Amino acid sequence: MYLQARVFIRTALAYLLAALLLGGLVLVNQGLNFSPYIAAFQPVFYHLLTVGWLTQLIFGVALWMFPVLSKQRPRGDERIGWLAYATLNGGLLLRVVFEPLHAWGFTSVGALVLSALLQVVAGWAFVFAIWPRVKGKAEYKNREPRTKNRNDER
Amino acid sequence: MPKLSQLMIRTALLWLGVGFSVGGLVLLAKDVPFWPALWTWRLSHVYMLLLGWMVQLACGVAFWILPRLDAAGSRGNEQLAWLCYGCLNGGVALASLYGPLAAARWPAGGAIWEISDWRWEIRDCSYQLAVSSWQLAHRQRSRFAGNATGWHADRREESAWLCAEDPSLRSG
Ligand code: HEM
Repeated sequence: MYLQARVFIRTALAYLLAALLLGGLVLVNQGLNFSPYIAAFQPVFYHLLTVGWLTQLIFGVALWMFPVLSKQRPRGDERIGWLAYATLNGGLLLRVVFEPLHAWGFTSVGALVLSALLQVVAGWAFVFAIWPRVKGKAEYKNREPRTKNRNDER
Repeated sequence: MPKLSQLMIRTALLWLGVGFSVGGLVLLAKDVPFWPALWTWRLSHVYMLLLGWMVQLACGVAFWILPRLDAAGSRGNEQLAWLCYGCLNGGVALASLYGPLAAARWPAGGAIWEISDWRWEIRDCSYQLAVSSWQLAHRQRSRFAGNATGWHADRREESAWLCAEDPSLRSG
């Protein structure tokens, strides 16, 4: 697995852990009501799970295993993938801090605007990075004759 | 990658872009409340992202990589999988429009769009059809164990091809 995919997937795993801990806290608080502040973490919990874990895991696995683009540049321009990584995580972390603060009545001094913009850039950056790799017959199939038994190549 | 998978994955990517953009607007409006009705788009963004993006991507990838049924590489009943594509996207589009349309008002206050319950039923039927056609189309492929043809064999061939000239790729 190449570096970019590993970084996406390891970060996703960290969010899974964070999401489950926070989700547990939110649910326990729904039953026991020990603090009125904790309910503000509900949307953060949803998005740690769906954006930080699931979507980020999908990004990493797709960049790793979708058909390669060409022999010279198997994964296209990797900088677009890094842009998606930085903006997704920057945007999500800003949200994790400032969405609860906003719910508790503090002003978020434009941090949620920035968080939204970063995450939207992340979504479209990934679309651009992976779009050319959603494709039919791989290049090698057009160029090289098939071997008799493909299992021999293992 | 077969045509249907390409279409499903590309449509899923479009829902990802649109769903993130709608979610972004709703988040941005928490800081800068410029249009109160934007809140009605919150559920639309959930449908777009959970079903349009995640479920559809999983379907597209599964149709591509699940083991094939025979040595010729058959993917089972493709018509049913196409039906699933249509119903899933029809359902997501209807569900996404429902909230904003139901809330839309003329300046005088009257509803722009009288929405009755049957529209929900179309959406639900659409999801039901999508799920059933998907299950019918994939029942056999999820049980079939061989992988001499298909994605795994393709990946082996692809890495052999990549490594032939650059041995440093071999460990990755
Ligand atoms: C795969 C990605 C995503 C999924 C599955 C998802 C899912 C959800 C869900 C389930 C809710 C709760 C709705 C409710 O409580 O009724 C929600 C709310 C929301 N989402 Fe997302 N979301 C995703 C990505 C995003 C992104 C990228 C943004 C912003 C850039 C965003 C912004 C919001 C906002 C602002 C809300 C309303 C929060 C609140 O209730 O206060 N979402 N989303």
